[in-house]
Amino acid sequence: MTSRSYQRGFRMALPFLLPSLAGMLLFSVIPIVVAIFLGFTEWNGLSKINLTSGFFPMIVDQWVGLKNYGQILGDKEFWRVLGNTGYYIVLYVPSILIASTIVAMILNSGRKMIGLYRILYYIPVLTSWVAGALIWKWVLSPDLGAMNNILSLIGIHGPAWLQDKTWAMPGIVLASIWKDAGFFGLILLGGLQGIDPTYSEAAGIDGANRLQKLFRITIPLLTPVLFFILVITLINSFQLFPQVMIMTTDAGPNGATQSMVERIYKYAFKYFKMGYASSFAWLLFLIIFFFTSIQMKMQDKWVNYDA
Amino acid sequence: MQQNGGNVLSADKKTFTVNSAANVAALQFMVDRVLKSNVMPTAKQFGGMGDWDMFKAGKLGMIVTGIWAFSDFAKNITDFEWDIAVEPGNTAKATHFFSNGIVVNKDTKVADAAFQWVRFACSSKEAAQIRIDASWELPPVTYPEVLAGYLKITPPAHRQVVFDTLSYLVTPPVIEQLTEMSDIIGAELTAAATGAKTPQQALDDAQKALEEKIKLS
Repeated sequence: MTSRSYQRGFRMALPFLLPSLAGMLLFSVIPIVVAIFLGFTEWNGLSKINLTSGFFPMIVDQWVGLKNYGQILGDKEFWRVLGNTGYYIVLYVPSILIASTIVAMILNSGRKMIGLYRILYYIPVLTSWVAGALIWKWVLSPDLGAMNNILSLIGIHGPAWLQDKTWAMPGIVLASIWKDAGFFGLILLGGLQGIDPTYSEAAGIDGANRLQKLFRITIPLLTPVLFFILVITLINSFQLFPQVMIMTTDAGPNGATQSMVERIYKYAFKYFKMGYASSFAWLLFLIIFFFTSIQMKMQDKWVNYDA
Repeated sequence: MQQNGGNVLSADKKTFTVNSAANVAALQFMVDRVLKSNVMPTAKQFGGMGDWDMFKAGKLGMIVTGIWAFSDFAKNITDFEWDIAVEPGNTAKATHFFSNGIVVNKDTKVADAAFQWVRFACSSKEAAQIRIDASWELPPVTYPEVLAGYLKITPPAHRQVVFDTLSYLVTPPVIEQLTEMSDIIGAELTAAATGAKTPQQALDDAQKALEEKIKLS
């Protein structure tokens, strides 16, 4: 495309893009930029600020420099919350990859009433987190909940889940897998259906069994989709919030399910430390950016874009 | 704390006194009710149910709550009788108290109208009757005939206790970071109640966190 035709195309597209660009500017770009400045202040979120006239005088008036960042990094709460989030990631990411792969394979199997299965697996995705989390709060109730009743049928005395500091986070992970497996399963299904069946047929003629086909053909060809899911699930995991807020009031026993976003929410809207919360949010962004960058760098070693 | 002679703040309100000997003893007493005699349920025994629901289900013998519970309990508890009493306390009686306030914005353009409305809401007989009928809170002014009607309603049979407690009121400290302070103390109390920390450790940690994070001016 020449530079002139590109410019003409851009001018034609601009009016169609404007509504989305305006929304993005208003609800994403401006708040992100404002949050950078707020992170260097001790603004409480309550005193009035005017973005067009009084914003910078307020920033100067409430300026504390890097104090917020220093306090956050020097507070053991930050490292404990980061540890909680890491624990969630270690449990959730491999589990959701396995669960959504299983869902995708079931949905790809071509068995009877497959449409019904697809709807059933996708219903949790459409369910709001509030409703889903309340259901799981009941499911994981120690004496009355479905989970421990099912476990008791096979002779296992289930833990107190959300009331036990060891089991609270695994309980949150179970609910998250239930909620997300259908969504990622559907993405993987798209990946599976994009694989040319002749690869598998050729391998079969060469004597490959089902497991060999799975690990030597299907999974390598799925790696671009798996990579996408890995990036998205890691970002989502760092943003763990609604299930924690609803399933474990005050973030679990002894803060066992406190997460980064839960802390940001509380500092901003409960403790009215908007500057401190903005710094926390920017630290979260830097952490996510760091891990996503590593993932992007590492993809050359295992993601197969050749097929 | 105050039922055992302790407090959150010193008398001059300039320092925290959360880990005082009186407070540690009070917390030890409470923790023992959970972990030793177990007359108070553990978090596991609550199983995610609220204390109101447990009481209404007949699974709790006593509950510390407020007058806003009356209408719900009267409506939903049908298989046992319930009543109220002033908390006994140890070295002193102390009853938690809070009140709602109504303020007018200093920049309002309708200051007179706002004041008239505030006066109606806070001091009129009609507003007092609405408050009594809703059974949610008590009016800040005394109309004997309105309150007489309130006292006749049963259950609870000893509704007069509501007014008896007014002799032992304690209020939370008035500080800007009250919510954050409550969360810090609450987290440490939970740690003690679950046995994760001893009462002394929990209150020492609370004291340290409060000194680091809460400004007392």
